[in-house]
Amino acid sequence: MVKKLFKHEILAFWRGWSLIQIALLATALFGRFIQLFENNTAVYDIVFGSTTFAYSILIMVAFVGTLFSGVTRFYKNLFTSEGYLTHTLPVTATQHIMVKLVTAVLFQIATLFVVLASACIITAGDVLVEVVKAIGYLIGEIYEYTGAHMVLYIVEIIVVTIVSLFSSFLVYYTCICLGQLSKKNRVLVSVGIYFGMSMVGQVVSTVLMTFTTFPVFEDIVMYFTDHPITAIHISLCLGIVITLILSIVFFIICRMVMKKKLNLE
Amino acid sequence: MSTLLHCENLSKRYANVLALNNVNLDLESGKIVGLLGPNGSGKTTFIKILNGLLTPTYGKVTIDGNEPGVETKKIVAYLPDNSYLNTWMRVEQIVDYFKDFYEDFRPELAYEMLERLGISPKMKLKTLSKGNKEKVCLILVMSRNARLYVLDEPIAGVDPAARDYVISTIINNYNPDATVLISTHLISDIEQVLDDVIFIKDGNIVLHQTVDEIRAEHQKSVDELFREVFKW
Repeated sequence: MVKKLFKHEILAFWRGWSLIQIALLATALFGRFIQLFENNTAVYDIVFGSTTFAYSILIMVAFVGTLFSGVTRFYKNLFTSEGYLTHTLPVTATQHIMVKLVTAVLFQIATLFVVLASACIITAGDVLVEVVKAIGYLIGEIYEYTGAHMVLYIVEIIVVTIVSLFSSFLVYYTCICLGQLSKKNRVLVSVGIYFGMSMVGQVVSTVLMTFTTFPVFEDIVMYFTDHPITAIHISLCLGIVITLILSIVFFIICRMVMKKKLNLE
Repeated sequence: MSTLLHCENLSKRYANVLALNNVNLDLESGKIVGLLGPNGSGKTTFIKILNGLLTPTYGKVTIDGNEPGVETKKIVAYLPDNSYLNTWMRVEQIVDYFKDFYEDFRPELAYEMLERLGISPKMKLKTLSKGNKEKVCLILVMSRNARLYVLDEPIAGVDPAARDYVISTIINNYNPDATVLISTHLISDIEQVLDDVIFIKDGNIVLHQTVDEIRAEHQKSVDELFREVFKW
């Protein structure tokens, strides 16, 4: 069943997603093409400037659009009229959430690769060579400073990025699910819950930051200052653990609402 | 005949409204049952609970011994009172969707019925008229070889010719060993096909009898008795 759910979820996601990505790649290609006619005329500046502007906007649209698609797919497919079919499929709530979540995250990762590919296209040639050289130089510098720790950093950054992607979708899913517990104005309630959760998050992080200024944490802050390489490892790992715990909590809330409190009206 | 559907003190409350009040009910296999009641009597609430779309406030329901969940969804074919079709799929894609998820789905039967209606599998669902969308939903549901068909207001809002189509589609395609639960307030159109009748009023089951018993006991048609029971 999970395979079939994935098949239909990917098909549904692909429709809107692919259009934006094609537009992005086409704009990048056009941007590279017009560079072949580079000259000092105002016409060239206007055409190239507008293409670069459109390309930058499309990069933003690609990321935000994928996030938006992931969230709206979850809402529309589970909590609007489509839900009458989705919730009567012989599939568990866990499978529904997992499939929607993993698909959304995979498409967001795919968006990153498409954006990288488009960047390679628009800068193809001397600029790309220069960019690759600069990145190579930067990596060399970091390696010289951190040594073998760099490999660990890369792994930790990849893990923290993936976990954060899961968590970012789960935050929205949780707000949508909690909004369904309301008797009316469910979308509005979901939006309210989102702002409420963001505010709580801000307050908690501010309080935690304030704690670090307390004398009792002085030794820890001192240790971090003296051992920056270890400090980065600890910060990244702590980020992974906290985000993972929050993701699990969000997942459990969504599952509980869909399994025990579903009220499709 | 064995009990397929069992409800015990089933209740559902929305804020201050008691939509279902201690419903106790047993339905056997192989019957066509009319769930009859005026608008707001609790029919849709009851049906949604059977399908796991609503959580009861109190009491329990079992279908073939299982509470609503994956096992019951495998054997229950549900037609809601509004279209659940998305707008982007083609007819053949929604047929594939049903084929993928329901082991008892018979695609050849679905295509046969669609062809009779002149609906091409290549058509986009959003281009179908409201009436044809409802018919596609009915075809999808009746193409399943289910144990329990739950049809919520299948003939509401359709013209008399379409009503005949809907009723004949139900009668000609359901699995004879299965139970068909049809909710409606349009009794006269459906009376001739019913074996059993359930009257539901303000969330309470006020009558559960066979059509023959009603005719013998009350000397009335189901429609006449309905008008008497639900008189304003």
